[in-house]
Amino acid sequence: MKSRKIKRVLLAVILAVLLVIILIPLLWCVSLSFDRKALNALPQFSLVPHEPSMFNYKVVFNTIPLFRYYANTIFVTAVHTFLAVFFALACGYAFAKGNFAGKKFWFIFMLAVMMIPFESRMIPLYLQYKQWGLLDTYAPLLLGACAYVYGIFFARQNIGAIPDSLRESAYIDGASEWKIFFEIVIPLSKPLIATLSILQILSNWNSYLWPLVVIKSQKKQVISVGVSLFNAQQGEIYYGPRMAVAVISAIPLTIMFLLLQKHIVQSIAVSGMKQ
Amino acid sequence: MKKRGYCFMMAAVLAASWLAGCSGSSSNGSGTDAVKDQSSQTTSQTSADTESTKETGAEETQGAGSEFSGTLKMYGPGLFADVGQDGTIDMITGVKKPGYQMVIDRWEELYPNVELVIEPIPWDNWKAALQTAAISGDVDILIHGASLGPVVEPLGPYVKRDSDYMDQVTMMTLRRNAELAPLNEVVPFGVTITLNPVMVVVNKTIFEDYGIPLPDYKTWTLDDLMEAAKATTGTDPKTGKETYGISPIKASDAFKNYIWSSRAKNNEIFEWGDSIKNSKMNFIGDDTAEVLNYLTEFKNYTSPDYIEGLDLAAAYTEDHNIAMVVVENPYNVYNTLKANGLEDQYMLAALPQIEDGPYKGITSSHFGDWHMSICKNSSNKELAWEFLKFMTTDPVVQQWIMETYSIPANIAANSTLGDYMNDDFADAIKYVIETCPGGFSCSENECYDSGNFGTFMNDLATVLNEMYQGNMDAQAAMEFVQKNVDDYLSTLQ
Amino acid sequence: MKHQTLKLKVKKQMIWYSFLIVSILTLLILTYIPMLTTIKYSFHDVEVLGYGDSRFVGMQNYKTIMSNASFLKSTANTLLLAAMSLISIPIGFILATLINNVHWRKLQSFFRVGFYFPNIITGVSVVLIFQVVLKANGGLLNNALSFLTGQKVSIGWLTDSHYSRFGATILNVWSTLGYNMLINLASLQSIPGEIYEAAEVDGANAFKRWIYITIPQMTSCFVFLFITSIINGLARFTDLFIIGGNTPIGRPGGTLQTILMYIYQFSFETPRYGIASAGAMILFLLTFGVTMVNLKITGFFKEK
Repeated sequence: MKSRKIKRVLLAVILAVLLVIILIPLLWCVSLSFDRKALNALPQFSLVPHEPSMFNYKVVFNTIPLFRYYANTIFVTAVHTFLAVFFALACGYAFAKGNFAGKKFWFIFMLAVMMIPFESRMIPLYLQYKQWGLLDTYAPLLLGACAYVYGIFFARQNIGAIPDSLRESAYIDGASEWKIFFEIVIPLSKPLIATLSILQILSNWNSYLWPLVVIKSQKKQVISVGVSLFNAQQGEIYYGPRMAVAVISAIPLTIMFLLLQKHIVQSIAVSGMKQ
Repeated sequence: MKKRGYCFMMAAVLAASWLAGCSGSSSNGSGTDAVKDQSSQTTSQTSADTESTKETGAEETQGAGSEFSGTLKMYGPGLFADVGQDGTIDMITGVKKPGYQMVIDRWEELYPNVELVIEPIPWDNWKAALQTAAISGDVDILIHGASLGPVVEPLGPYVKRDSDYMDQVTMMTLRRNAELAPLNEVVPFGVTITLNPVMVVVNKTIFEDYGIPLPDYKTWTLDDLMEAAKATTGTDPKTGKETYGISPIKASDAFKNYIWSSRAKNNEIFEWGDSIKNSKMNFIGDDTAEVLNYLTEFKNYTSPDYIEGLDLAAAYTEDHNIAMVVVENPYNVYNTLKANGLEDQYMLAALPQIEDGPYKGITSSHFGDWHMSICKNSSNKELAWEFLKFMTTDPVVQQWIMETYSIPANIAANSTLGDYMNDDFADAIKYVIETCPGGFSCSENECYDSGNFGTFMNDLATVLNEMYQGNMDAQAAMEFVQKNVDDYLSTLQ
Repeated sequence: MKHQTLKLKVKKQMIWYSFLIVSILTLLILTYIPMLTTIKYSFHDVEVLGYGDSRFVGMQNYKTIMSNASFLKSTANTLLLAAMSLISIPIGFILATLINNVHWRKLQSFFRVGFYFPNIITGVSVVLIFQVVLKANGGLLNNALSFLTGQKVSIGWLTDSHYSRFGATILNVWSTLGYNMLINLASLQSIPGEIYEAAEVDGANAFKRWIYITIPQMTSCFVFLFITSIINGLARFTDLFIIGGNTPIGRPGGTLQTILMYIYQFSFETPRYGIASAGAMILFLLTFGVTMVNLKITGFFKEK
């Protein structure tokens, strides 16, 4: 009995050590962001700042309109995520439970483009938005969200796992498919929604090339380009302020992740990987 | 207050020289040697009629501007992005650099009916961004766009018309184009706004510690440079610290080291035909091998952190342990040194002299540039050309460029470098400016070409880094580059 | 009567299509139509779209690209790097097994969050930090290796072409490990407990149970991770682009140039849009193939 307890503690200790090793680069990053000494020379490795100071953060806030970029990014990310997840669920529901002509065709139609490299269709896409007069608006950043292919794939697996009996009883009560979707499927898909949201937010928050190209007005720009502009304004690589920027832009993601992490694990567990 | 007064005087001096340039010359300045001659002429006239021409100068420019109207849009990376609209604070020196609002204000003063829209972008992915902007058709000036050949307007006709323009500027941004001129010549595709002379920052203290004479940059050779690097690598006899002889231009831009060293060796590698497709690059040869091996030999005298771009962490501070640093921004470096109170311990040197060929005897230092081009499908080309001239000749703008620690490509402004830095530094930069032959382009010359041979530039960086790491010898490197170039030329249809 | 059921059937179909229509239109307009342009120009000789003339050249671009040593090398690099980053799956599985065995629930969830954390941090700052962690002279990893081996190690993980793929893989594993762990863990926890109980009765020890019961039960999870890893690997771009100093040449020595970087190079750096388009089509075919294999394995084609 005692040896079992020792084993348990040992395992926990091993994992803790591993965790520290994996997180060291991140911890260092945070430490550097508070270090007045971290300018163009990187100070000796240490998890505690050599000269603790808020200087780097002050520099960042004084150099670029960070709050503005922040607000823009949050707006774009929120709308994008909402559209992407909603339509992914709708399509996922149709593919999981629906019975209609061309189902397989449309499914492959969607999956086929999952990986068309964005860089290679960027210029034609740009020309289209130009034709529609939508450059320098948020439309190019948002419209693409209405077809979130990976999400559709994922939602199909998850929604497929919802028992048909629930649907049938509602159906007998005379509910329409959309009503079932809103009143049964969505409430049952909270873990799925959480997972897709976090995946969306992650990929959106850091997207760089497309916003750089379509958004021209500085005041509409998003944070990833803002950070790059900040870096451009420094002649050298100044580690401290760069890390401060990294920390600031990672904060919302971290909070989001901590709030949603329970759901994420659940949704992955029910996703139909075990077909 | 004092500073403002000084500003004003500068502006007056420059306005005067601008005028002098206007009236002084009627010769067509698109040639080469005119640049040098004109330089001395303008400066001498400047001092003579500073006061009298001040007002007329202002009036005339004002008059010229009001006939234009509309909106002028520009887009691209570089200085505008670096300083922002309202200026930045340099974190090391704490010195402020003025933002480009000053340019807008000045422009609106001269051209009250023209709205100026500046859209700066960062350097990351700039070529992709510029290309899309050009395609959008909603931009008149492409900042740093000359390398996007098909998209920018050739400036030959404009320069020809404004015959006095060339007499005022230090250089233009030149490219090859088989349709406009034979390929062994270069034609203007952009206007150079700032100059980035490639030079050596010499740590005099380290040289003195080792008891080695300082370089005489007007006469030193490639071998002298290597000797100096060798002699200053080791344990500093005075301080006992480890020192390294040299830090060439950073490894990710290693091709820039190839540019100056191949030029110093006069390693001409091109045979021009009637088009790029029918031209040849003969990269494999003893001279090329010599250049590649020369650059690789630096390995013995660089810090082990050089290849990662981390060897300059302590540069220009008390702990600086590198005897010679090859830099592209000497003015900025000077200001860092000044802020650290170390400018007396350093000097600036031109790169070694060219050993052979038409330019024998002058320095192999060349200029990088930051330039502006006119977008081919701009509907405002005349106005765009006005702006390009304004950026390179307006005295207030030249003043602004100087205050951002950049060197303007304006002859009159170049002559005032001495007001901004120690004579030693200013003289070295002026020496490079004066000896650099007109019509020379570091991007496209007889030893190197960045735009026309596919991935040549990147391949050079690749093989130089591989050689530095000891993973390739000169023969393999030359074959690799030659094969890629030949491959590329064969794809041209 | 018959007419009426048909009408009902059509109506039923329309309802299902109402769920799909927005996504279908979006894909059609924003993905398929631009893709057609890409296909079109892959048969043309054109430098920059909308400037200069473009000439129809048939299969020339494909021929050029398929005989171009750099393209073939970048394809090989892409596959090699994708294969190397698969190591993240077994590591993630072992990690998940360890975490699954943690006795205290709170602690388990703490580890779960902790190990997943690197996955949410991406971009330039990670590369910046790893450039120092993986530095040749005095980097954290080399210091640790020097300490462990007792001799000075100075491997240029991101600068020496012999080691760069390992360096890039370390960086990749660091950021994907958390995701792989999470998927593995979720899958582990969904294995029914009864199977283990039966084995325990038979006297199998923990290790044997892991080998003979757990791993076979995990097959579908491994396949899923394998496929997504390969698809992500084929599209790898950003981190390697940043490691190369914001260039698509795949420094050092071109060892880190992926197909997408090759395409980028000919789209933007030395614009040859026709060639870039041909490259994009080849990459598309590759990924399409993998996706189809994926569907086959998950039994999609067998469904009613």
